[in-house]
Amino acid sequence: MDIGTYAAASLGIVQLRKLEIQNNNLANVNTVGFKRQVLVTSPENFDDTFAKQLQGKDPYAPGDQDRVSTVNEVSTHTDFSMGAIKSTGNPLDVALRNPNDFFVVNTPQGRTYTRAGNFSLDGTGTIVTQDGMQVMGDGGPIVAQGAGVNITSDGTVRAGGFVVGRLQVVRFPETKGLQPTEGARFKIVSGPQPAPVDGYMEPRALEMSNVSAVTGMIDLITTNRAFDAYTKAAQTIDSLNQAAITQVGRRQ
Amino acid sequence: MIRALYSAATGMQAQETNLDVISNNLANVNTTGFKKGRADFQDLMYQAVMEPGAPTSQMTINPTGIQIGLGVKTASVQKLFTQGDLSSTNNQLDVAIEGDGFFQITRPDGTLAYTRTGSFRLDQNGQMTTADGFMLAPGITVPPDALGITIGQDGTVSVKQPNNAVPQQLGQLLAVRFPNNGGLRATGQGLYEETQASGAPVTGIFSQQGFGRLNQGFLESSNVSVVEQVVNMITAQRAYEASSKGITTADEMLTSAINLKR
Repeated sequence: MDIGTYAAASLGIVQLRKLEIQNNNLANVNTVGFKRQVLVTSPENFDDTFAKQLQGKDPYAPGDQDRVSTVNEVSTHTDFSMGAIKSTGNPLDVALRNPNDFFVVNTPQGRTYTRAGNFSLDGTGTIVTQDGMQVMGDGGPIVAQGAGVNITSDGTVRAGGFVVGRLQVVRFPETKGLQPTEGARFKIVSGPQPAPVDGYMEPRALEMSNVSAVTGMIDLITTNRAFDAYTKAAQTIDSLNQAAITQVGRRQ
Repeated sequence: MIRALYSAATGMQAQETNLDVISNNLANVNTTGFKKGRADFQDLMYQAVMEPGAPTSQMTINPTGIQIGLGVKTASVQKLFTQGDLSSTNNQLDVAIEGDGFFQITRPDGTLAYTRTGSFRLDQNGQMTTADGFMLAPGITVPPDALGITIGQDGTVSVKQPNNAVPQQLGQLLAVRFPNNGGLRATGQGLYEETQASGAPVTGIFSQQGFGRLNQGFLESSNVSVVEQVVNMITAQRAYEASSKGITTADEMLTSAINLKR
């Protein structure tokens, strides 16, 4: 088969994957602390390889090793830009001010990190996430028993007028090693452990999703039209092949 | 591809729940003691199409892998127990709690419930009840010849009786609070039930040890802000539309793919 058919098909498949990711983003446009996912493709290398093949050169020739290795390579990447800060007036809501800071949450799968500050209390007064995972303080989980739980801008938790703990905040100098898990939480897959820092947060406010409906729509249109273009390319190649099969060599 | 359809559909479902909660809040904008609800969303699990660190050649690995999220779910719908505005009614049986705490009520089946709606009435026996006729626990009975009822900041109920210069103390409104107010189960009629998530009730006296202060002649308004809810309604609607466009796009792309074969 013509190499162009495969090129068009693989580019089309990338667009389908893009759509999956964009729809997940759109579904989470109202999820507190959600971070947008983007599909990273490497089109230059892709084109280079095919260009070489078309020119009759060996794309796998020594010296081009790392370039060839990235052909077709796509990966998801998390956009850690800040979402809008929304004031809620709820004393258990906090929004982190520094984009590299995270709260620490204990889950059955281990330690995770989140920027979703929509906390709650469980039946014992322990500060937990909305799905009941314990939020870590400087000295372990924080038990806030007593009337009038309040969190100040440095993360100090007061209950009944007494200081009962302080929310642990860690800073990642580099967020590349973080992978998304459910609940707007992230786990470390590579890179150094984060350093504890003095938290600086906005009390009674939440950091909303950093997905924008406008860019989400534009992404959808781009993906849709790109897919159309690749299917059109595949159809064009197909009709060329058809012409070749039916017309070339026909007796006049 | 079907993943794209499903994750967009979860987005639409989540926004439907969001609108349910917002509509209930708006419907109760004038309900005494009503506490607004809030739907909290979480992203669902991620499916690893390519694990992070998968080798891309002998020399190189994929730094982040490919992780595809599967949409969104409603993590919780919680009641936010922020203070509502106090409005003056000049009714001697209206009591508003300023701060933390609940009144304890006995329901007709004998179980206890808790409320912040302090618009009390007297029944035919002089018992203080809620608007639905549920009695306070412990009950307070007002004698028929009472001239005026006084409810103090600490919940002490006393009456003035004819031929007696000294006010007669009838009892005290019990103050109750929970480790986690948000975990209470709302049962309607302004009542809440204890759950495992709310923790066991802690009783005390109003105006003491962190309990709120009582204000006679006032009612606590709903803590729903119309502006806030309408803004939330707009974002919910737009989010719903955005997810529906995601479904349309997935459908169009599937159609294009199918039309490849002529």
